[in-house]
Amino acid sequence: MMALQQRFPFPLEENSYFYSNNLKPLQPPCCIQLTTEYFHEVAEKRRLLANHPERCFHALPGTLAAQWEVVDEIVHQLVDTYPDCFTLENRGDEWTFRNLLLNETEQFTFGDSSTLPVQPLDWIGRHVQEDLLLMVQRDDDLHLEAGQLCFPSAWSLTFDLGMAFHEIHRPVPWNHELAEKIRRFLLRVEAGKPWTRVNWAMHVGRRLDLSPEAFHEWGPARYQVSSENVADEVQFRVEEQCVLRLPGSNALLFSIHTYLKSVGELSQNPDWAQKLHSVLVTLPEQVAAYKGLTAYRAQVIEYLERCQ
Amino acid sequence: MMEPNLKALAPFDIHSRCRKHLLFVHPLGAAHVAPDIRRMAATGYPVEWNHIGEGGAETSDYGFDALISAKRSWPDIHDSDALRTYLEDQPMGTHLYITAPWGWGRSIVRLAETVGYAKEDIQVRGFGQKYHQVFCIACYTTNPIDNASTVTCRQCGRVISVSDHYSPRWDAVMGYPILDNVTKKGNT
Repeated sequence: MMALQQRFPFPLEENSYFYSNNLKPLQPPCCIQLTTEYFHEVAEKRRLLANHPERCFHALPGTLAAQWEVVDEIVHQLVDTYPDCFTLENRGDEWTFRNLLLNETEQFTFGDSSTLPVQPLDWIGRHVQEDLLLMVQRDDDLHLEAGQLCFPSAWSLTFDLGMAFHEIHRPVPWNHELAEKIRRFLLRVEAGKPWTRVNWAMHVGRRLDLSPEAFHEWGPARYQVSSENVADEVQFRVEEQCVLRLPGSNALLFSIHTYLKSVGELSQNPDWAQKLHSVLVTLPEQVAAYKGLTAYRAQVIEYLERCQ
Repeated sequence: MMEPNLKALAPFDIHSRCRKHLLFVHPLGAAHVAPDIRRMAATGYPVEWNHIGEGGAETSDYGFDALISAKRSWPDIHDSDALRTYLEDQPMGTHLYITAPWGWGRSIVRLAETVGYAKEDIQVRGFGQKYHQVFCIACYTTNPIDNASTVTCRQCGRVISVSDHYSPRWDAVMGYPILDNVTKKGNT
């Protein structure tokens, strides 16, 4: 069995904060990462989907064809990239997919949703750590029309479903021109040429599910940070986002793999600690508020200075 | 509704390439569209006046009649099959200009988009209170709002903060629960 990888895509390349879309071509062109957290995170996704289906999966009518394209794309990425972990046998449209990590076998008729226990996007999402979102392109715009979202960073799929790109991203402290540039870029993403970017934030408490629906569970902790617990409790959260064009439906698939490292773990790498310190010191107040770290930024800066 | 101050609103961007101009005007905004109508008429394409809501002065009172090719009245635009049919029957290249309270404006936009109008073919010059409902993200209940920054959710009883993140699907802005019993740094 292939060893699951330890991975943390540290996103800060500069010593001061500046916002950019930092999109790069995805090489190799696989939007799925299997990490050592695979078993824990897939189990957590399935728990959230069972307990909170109303917030973790949505699909508007008319998205089934695109959902099947996602199944086709991700199943083939899995079996091509991780052949020790996943296999596929298909006779025409009769598919047998095996997840050897979880010892699960699923037989279904490709294109026939009645042969799967849940909708296609929901089904394949239960085999990967990534959140999966579908944006449909029409009228020269992108619309969020389906998604499996278990580990959101303070946004709600239930609320944002159906929104166009700028409706989702408003209000944010970016300038509108940059958001428009990103939207224009995404509209031109070509099939077979996927892209990736990393985004970061900080929060308190080691949990991936930061849904606003559960804010009462995770929100209060941001006011409980002290010099004694800052190293363990404050998390540096990285979202590795990939975007690829589905050629049949012309929709865009976004995959989001979320990584956590506590500030204490991160400080074991002096270069990372120094970069994070520099960025936090120069972070504009409104961006700090947007990233939710106003309440404890000073404690993190102080801790990182103690580590230097 | 109190008379809104419309002087700060920007004029419509008149699309010279569009083939027909449809104006939807609420009585409270009627007196402020004269310059727009003159510019629409100057394109040489038809300008149709759609009066929405009850009451208000006639177009003749404003001196528009010579510039308008047709007039209609829509006392109620909500779930109006007649309005849907009217929008569907317009030729390609028709552009919509709406001057109305925000809620009315959004209703017309929703209807227009469902029958195939593109976003760039619709302009809204809204006035009055922009949003009328807040969506409690804790329990998924929509609540009416006035101008207050917080609302007590009628379903779960939580106090929610009214944001300006608007969902057309819910016709509401997001409401975030306010944390209570939280000991903030400095309050101890």
